[in-house]
Amino acid sequence: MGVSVYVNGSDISDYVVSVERSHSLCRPISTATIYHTWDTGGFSTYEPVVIYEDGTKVFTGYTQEISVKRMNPELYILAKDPLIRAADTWIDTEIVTNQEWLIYWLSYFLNLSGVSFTAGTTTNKYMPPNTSWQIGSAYEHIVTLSKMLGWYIFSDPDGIIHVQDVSIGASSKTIATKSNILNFKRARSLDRARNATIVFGYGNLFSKQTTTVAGISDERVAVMASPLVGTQALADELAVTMLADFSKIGDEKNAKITGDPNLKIADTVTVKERFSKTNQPCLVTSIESRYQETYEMDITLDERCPSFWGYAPYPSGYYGAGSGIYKSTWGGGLYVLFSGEWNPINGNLPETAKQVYWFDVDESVIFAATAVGLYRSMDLGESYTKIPLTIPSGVYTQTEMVPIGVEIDKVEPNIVWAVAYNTAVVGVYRTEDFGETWECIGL
Amino acid sequence: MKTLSYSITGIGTAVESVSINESYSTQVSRCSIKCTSHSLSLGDSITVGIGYTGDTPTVFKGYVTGIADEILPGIHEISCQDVLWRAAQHWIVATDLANPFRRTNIAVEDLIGDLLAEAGITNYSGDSPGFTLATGVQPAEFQLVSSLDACNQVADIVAWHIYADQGGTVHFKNIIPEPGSSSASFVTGTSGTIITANQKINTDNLRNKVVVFGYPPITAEAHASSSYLPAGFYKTAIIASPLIDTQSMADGTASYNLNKWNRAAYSIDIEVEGDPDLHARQTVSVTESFTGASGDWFVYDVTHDFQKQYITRMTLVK
Repeated sequence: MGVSVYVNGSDISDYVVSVERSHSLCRPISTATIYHTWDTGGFSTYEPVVIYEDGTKVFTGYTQEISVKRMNPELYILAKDPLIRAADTWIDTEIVTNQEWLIYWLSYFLNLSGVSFTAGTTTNKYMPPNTSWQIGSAYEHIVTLSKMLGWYIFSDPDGIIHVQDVSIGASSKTIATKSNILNFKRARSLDRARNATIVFGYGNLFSKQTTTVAGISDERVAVMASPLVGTQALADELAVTMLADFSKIGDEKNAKITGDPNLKIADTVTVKERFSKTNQPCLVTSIESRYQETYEMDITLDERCPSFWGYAPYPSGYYGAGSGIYKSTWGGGLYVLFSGEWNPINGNLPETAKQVYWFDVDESVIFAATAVGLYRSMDLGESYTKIPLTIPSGVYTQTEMVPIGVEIDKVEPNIVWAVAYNTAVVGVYRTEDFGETWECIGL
Repeated sequence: MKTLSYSITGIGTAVESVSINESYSTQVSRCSIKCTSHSLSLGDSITVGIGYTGDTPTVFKGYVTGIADEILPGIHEISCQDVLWRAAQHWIVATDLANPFRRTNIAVEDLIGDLLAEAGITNYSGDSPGFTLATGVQPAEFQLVSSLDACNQVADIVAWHIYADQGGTVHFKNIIPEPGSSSASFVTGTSGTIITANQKINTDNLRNKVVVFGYPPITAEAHASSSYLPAGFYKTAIIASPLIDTQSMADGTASYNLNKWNRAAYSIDIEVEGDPDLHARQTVSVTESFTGASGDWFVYDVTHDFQKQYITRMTLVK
């Protein structure tokens, strides 16, 4: 067969039964499954894998899962592209930012993962002030950053990770019925289309943009709200960018085509298919390839990734909105909305406590679960007192708990609930005296 | 012998199959049409009539929300949703945060009418439960919520129901999923129209305690024993809304919702010869001795499957 597979430099092509590949702009880590009869064992994880189909390199990655069932004639190797290194690179200490560009941190985490990459360029996207990167995988942070930039992540056949804007460009190929199309389905949908966007920012500023979308007669709005949007220009830019995405009608195509090793995700192809009236350039958004006795591909064109648009997710934050009080943390402290103004209520909170996981307000009482402990204010943010949450010593070596949630009872505000954890346990706490004394009611 | 017939906007004689689903629990009815050709576009209004020669009443009216074309086997699939789709998709958003959508001293049915109008729905008929909202200091405000979710928040206060009928009119009514006056009969046997019937009972949706949280500090509670649950055992439903701003309204909300939900779900899944006049929320009479299902039932869910044969599948409850 026309497939060549090299594992850790060894050519196992003569033993390959079939190869299945999966690449997608919406699911960034590409995979390849190699079914083979190399029954001598000896493979290990994280060995380099290179695959050629019909003489063209189509995949570079690492072994991740190896079947060694000797009684099973269908042995396989599951390989993933080099972005798997980022998923396996764990950030185990807090990294504080200093308003660097987003692209700086994108490169930082990619370099930390040891992958070869190429990233797009951007000029005006800064990290918010007083934010930090928390414990998590480098991959999670890379995905967050790419969403904030409106970019996609994908690997090329050489295993280079691309983080960049992707859009329909110059067509590199044509797929057509009576040529290489075996089956074709086009699905148009209004489900996610919006003809207006509103961005609410700091204070009273907002930007609203509208357009016309065929098939929608009433106004349908997509909304983003963030106090970190501090200028009218940025609000306008975000609203325009959002509208450009949301005003598109879903127009996904699924095609089964004859295999083509030169077809890659993020390519633009021209489709000529008469039944569905598709005669236009389309973006290749996923490829599922099978090379066995036949060589076929299921490709998706112009797929809308569910979470593609996402300026809002900041590195470690939470946003909630009600009719009167707006909560906003994003590591920047506490804010309450009065008469349309975002007013900080940080009082004497230490800088380290402005990494707020959750907070709740009732009248003038505030409880804030922060990265460095539970804080309480009895004067609506003028001053704060740290309240320790602990577990008995002698059972666990670490007795101080980090709060991650706090809720004031809306009927009896003297009752407050808190959830906290440490490296060993998670605990639920309850107070009936506005936080003077706490009872740990469960670990 | 009956001959199948249909009349569908924008699809001449090219229909391969039609499937229409209405449900008491799923407010927006859906219709899927497979055809070999059509002249429809996304957002078009569509009316679907199915039945038999000389009798093709309108079974669905709504909008085209999706179009899929597949070359093998050469089929177009038209996905449609009824008029409440507009309310589900329309968000209520005011850019002036100090002046959101706000009403005071307004009857429940009028507030729902205003919320539907935000989504461009004016073909509306609302019965009156006799409640007036926002009579105190707390106005009825809605921001960053879909028009349909806002309507449901209001309807839940009185345990009433919002739906669109097959003619495209949105109704606000007091409809509890229990049999009322029967509008159609189904009988097993060679002269009947029942094809299959399967009866079952469960308590999944039973709630025999309702707790209401209104505008602080207003609360209310109602509970009752249930012969379907162990003695002293309560399954609780919570209704919370700042629109509940009087104690009497909170008490009424608890009472109405307890009446609505304190019931076990006896249900029959039944297939009958296609009947285009069957719709969700009707009451039908069944004569079927084997399963013991004879009696009047509420049509909780109905699906019209129309292709080479026409079968109506229903879930009936009481």
